[in-house]
Amino acid sequence: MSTDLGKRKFIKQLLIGGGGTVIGAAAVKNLLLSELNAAHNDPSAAAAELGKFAREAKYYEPNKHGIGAVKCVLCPHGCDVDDGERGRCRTRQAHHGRLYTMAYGNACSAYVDPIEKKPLNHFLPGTNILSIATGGCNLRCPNCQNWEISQSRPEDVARYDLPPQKVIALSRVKQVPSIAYTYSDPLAYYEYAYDTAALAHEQGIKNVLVTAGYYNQEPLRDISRYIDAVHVDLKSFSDYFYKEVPHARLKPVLDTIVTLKSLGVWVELIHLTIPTLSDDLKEIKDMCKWVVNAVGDDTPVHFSRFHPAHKMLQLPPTSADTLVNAHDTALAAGLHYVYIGNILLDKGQHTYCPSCKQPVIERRGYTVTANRLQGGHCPCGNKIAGVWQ
Amino acid sequence: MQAQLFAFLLGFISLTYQLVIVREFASFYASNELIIGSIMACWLLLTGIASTCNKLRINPLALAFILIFYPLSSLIALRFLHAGFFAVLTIDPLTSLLLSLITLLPFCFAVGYSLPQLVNAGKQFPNSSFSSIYAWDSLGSVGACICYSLLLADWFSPLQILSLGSIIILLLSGASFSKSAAYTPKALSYFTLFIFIIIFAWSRNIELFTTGLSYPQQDLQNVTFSQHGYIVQTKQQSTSSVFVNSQLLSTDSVSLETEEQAHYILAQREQVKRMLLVSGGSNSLFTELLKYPLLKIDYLESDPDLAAIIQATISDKYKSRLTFYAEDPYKFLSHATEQYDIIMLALPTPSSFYINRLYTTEFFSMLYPHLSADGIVALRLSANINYLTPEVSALISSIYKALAENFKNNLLLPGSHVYLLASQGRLNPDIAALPAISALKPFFLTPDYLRSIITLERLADLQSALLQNAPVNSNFSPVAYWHYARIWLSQFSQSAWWYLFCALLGGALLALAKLHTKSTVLAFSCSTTSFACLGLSLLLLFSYQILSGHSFADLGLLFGAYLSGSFCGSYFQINATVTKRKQILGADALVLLLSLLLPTIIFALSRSYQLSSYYILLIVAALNFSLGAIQAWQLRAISQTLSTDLREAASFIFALDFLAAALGAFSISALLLPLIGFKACAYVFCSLKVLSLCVLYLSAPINSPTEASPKRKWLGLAFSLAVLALLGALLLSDSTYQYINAFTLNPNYHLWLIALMIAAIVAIVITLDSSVELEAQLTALPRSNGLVIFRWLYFLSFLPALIYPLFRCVFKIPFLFCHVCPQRCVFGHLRPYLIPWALTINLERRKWCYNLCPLGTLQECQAKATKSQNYVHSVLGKFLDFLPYVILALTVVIYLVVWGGDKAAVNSLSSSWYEYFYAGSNDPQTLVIVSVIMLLIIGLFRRRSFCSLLCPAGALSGLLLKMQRLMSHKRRG
Repeated sequence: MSTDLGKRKFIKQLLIGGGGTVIGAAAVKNLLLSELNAAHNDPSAAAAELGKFAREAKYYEPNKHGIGAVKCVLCPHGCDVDDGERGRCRTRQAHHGRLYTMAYGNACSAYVDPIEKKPLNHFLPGTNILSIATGGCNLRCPNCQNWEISQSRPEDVARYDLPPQKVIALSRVKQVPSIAYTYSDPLAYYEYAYDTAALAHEQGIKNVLVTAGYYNQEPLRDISRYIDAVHVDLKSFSDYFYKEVPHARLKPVLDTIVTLKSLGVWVELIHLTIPTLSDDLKEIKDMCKWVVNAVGDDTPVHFSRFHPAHKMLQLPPTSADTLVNAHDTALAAGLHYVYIGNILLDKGQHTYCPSCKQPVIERRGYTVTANRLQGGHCPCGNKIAGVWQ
Repeated sequence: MQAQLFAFLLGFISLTYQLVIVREFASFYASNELIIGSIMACWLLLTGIASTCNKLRINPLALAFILIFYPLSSLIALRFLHAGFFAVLTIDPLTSLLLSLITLLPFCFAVGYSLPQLVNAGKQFPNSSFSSIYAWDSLGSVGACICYSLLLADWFSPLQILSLGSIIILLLSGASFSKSAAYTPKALSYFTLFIFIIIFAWSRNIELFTTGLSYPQQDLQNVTFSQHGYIVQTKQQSTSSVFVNSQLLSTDSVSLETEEQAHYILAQREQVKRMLLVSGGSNSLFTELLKYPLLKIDYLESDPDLAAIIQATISDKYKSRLTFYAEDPYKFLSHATEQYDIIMLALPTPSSFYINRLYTTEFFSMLYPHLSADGIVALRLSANINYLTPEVSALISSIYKALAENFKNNLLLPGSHVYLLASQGRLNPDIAALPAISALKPFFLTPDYLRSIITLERLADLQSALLQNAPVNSNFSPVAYWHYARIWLSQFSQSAWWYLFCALLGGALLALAKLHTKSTVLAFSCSTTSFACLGLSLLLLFSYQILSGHSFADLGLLFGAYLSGSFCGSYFQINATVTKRKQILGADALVLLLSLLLPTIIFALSRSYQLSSYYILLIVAALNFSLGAIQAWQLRAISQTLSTDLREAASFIFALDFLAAALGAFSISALLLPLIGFKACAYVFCSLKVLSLCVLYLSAPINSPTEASPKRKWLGLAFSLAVLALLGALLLSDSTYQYINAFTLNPNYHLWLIALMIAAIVAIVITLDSSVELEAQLTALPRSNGLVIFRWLYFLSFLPALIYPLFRCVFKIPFLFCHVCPQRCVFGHLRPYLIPWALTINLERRKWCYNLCPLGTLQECQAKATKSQNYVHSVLGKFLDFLPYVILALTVVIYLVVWGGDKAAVNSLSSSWYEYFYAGSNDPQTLVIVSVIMLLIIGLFRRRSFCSLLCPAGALSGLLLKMQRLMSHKRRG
């Protein structure tokens, strides 16, 4: 009897509970969710376009350890990517034994900036540059200013349908002499940047990579054929810093700088001077000496003021004294072109001729106020390193 | 008495520790309500789980050791952990949660375990030991609240505050050992410990050293424990910075951002004489602002400590043109008489309800009277101008809309932030062309730079990023806070956070479910009361912050009021003649009433800007007190109905209380409030209490119906008829029926009815009892079980929806043609759900008809008052018995033939047939009204005449019941 009662109770519970739930769901759906849905954007729109932006990646190898898995060899991380998964950069996905970039043409940003804002002080000064980016990055910097872009998957932040041809067309419309692959690391959208740079190079438009330089040599050499200038973010001269903060290593970045220089690409270095983490003067001195020895004393180095961002909110901005000391240390180490950025200071703004010590390019913030260069030479006749035309 | 004293101490030190630790987490680990809610939830969850471990036997010395030393050592450990592992990084929510779980575990375990043990120890007071311990524990917490908020927080450092509890326990333990034989050595050891704690905790150097660990390589110029958190002023070389809760507030070097902040706004007007700057003051900002020659600035900071620090850091050369005010912006604006050319809000991001209130339409409406004719209100929001994420777009949109509600012209400008400008006058987006830019020559903002950044394309992109349907950010619907929380969370890997969140939530629910198996109905009632009371109390605390600004002392007093209520509710006996069941029910009903009234009370207070904050404090405190008292009153009643082992019963109730409160703390501050707003939150609690009442109501013992007195029967009939007559009169009158129509078509009303139906379904599933024979059930029906209030709740809620068609139907037969009705009323809208729901509920002993249906209730009142019978012994009576099936068949045929909304099917019918029933307008129909009156008259002689004669749903349910009866006979036969 009790079993029978138990069964009856169960069936009744099922009927009442199930019936009530179904009707409730219908009521909520029809009466309430219809209003709520109208109030929100449809997120499926971006996902629906995922396939459109997929292209086979250039640098990968089969991985013997998993069916459909591959090994990405674009950067020193060397991610082993399982079928359906993505690498650290969030842009490369393994699919049935092949690796695809999901960031081909789905740019999230395409704006014109002054080139001094990159910052590049020895490359077409006073001009504007078209800056494009997609989502994704192979590093995890907790102080990233563009974390909304760099720490996202490309389809999550996609905004434009901008294949390489359209980028070139846009740069013509905007009348800019160069295109920057920036905001997130262009390595994340290597294939897209590669094809765009090749097309731009063909049409006489210059290409600039704004990168952390964490590349493997082969892909770096490959893309460098079309690149005119590279702004490398040399975050620190300490391998410990690289391991702990962006979760990378120092050596591949140094190798990138040397390789680029050896290939004749114009290189400027930026060092974000973070209080307590990368503001040690001895380390800065060692870094500058390495730059002088490895890539030459005419390589511009920018010391940029840190401002709290992303997950690194509990540090103060870099003090002016620290930046001035770093600037002086770099000059003492033998560098000719040293700049201070992102702070109101008279020092470290202008380009001085190493020979006559007179300013040849004067700047105010991100604006060139005077340019005395004559065919890339100081009025005194000394050649100033850079790409001026 | 010793047990009560220890309960008092336990309450005191546990709440003190909780307040200090929450403040510490808030200061070091991202101070938003999300994290604070999580930590409070962890606290309650761990204490709740520990209180279920009543079977364990632990050495009291070990417990005392934890209570004495753990608070101090855990605080120091937290600071070292922060400095060692996370000093430069914001900790993600998952780590915060894990860290709080690990940190709190030993202490919460000691407290949670001790409470049921104290109840057992104090059992010499029969029937009141649980309530007595609960009362003393609450009283200790009240003491802690008052001491902390009025004295300790302002005058003592966190280490010193924690040491107080340790010292008291140490002295008491020492005193208890003084009676033992080995008095001298133990007394000496206790004295040594006492000295050690004093030196350790009261040394300012240790406090500064451990705080300074989080600011490496910086000289600590000033450390202040203010109402709003830790304010630390540091100096690194020549740069001075002010941090509030470890977040940089201001620094004194000029950057691009500072120039944008000043010149984007001030350059808009040729002459700026007077300006109000709300928060964000620094030397660098004043350097830029005071380049405008005529400018005088009133600087407003709501935290007096912070205002003092800012004032001290500002260079003397600026001070002659600055006036400092330390007051809540709402209060300042309510009495200020100045008119400003510019009001600049340099506020932190809306990371809490308190800050969010300065980004709302209510606040902007208060700014309006203080602006000169073409004055400008300006604020900035942190955003990456190269790409606006959907969350940032939503945030900007909700605040932009709040501005647009109050100002004619609004402008969005791109820069290192997104700047929002609003004015009744003209606003110019072409900053490069403004004369002040050429005249003042800012360092970064050169005309060339501005033209390359503020392009038409960027301006258009910003405008297009605004969501058209974004809700307006308001005080009690803090959508900007919610969007900011989403932005903040998007920095971290959320999957792990949500897994842990779900695991904790699931754990709490499982623990509750396990406890519910002991006494389902009581446990359900108890846990929903704890959840709702804590939730309502949080709503009140947040509302108070919104209405009167942030004051740690006031919040402490308000929380103290809640705990005082708990003390009174558990300590003082309610009228003993009232049954425990009715006490529990009464508490449920009161919580329901308070949650229904709360939105109205808050709305009324929010409209009373002139009302003194003391009155607001008093009202909110009284409400908090009531909530605490109701909760404790119900807990006491529940504890007295449980006949199990005293320690087990106490453990059961403490666990229920803590776990439900943990769920409340977790879900309300982190999810419900920002997601659905204050009003909807209150309605969620209201629905929960409806559900709880429903469970109580439907679980009434079937064999113990209580007979109402004749007077009450007539009162019930009079009340139901009066409501019907009133509604009928309002519906009949052309001047008033529109109001009823508007009310019944309001989505909130529909939501309320849906919530009631869901509550009924859940309650029936929970209380389903097949052990009672069907015959017994049928003979017991209809019945009254004493929970009359619940029946009336359904009556009042559903009556407007059910009787609307009787008075205003566009068809001649109401209820029948809703599926093809061109002018759907509330019944037409809800019929597809209400009728199936009612039929589903009727599967269990026809409970909808007999217990919940408003028409059934009305007829039941008639039947009881006039003692009308079921049967009329005549041929007519037998025919009438058959009538409902004819009506049912007719309904089914009409529903199937005139299929919902299919015009083709309708047109294919003979037009005269269809048109005969279509009245063409919703004017009252005499025939229907007369029929209603006749049915009411018949109801005096024939029991439930409408239900048994005309209601198709009743007929169908009656058929089902008869089938069940037949099956029951067959089984027995």
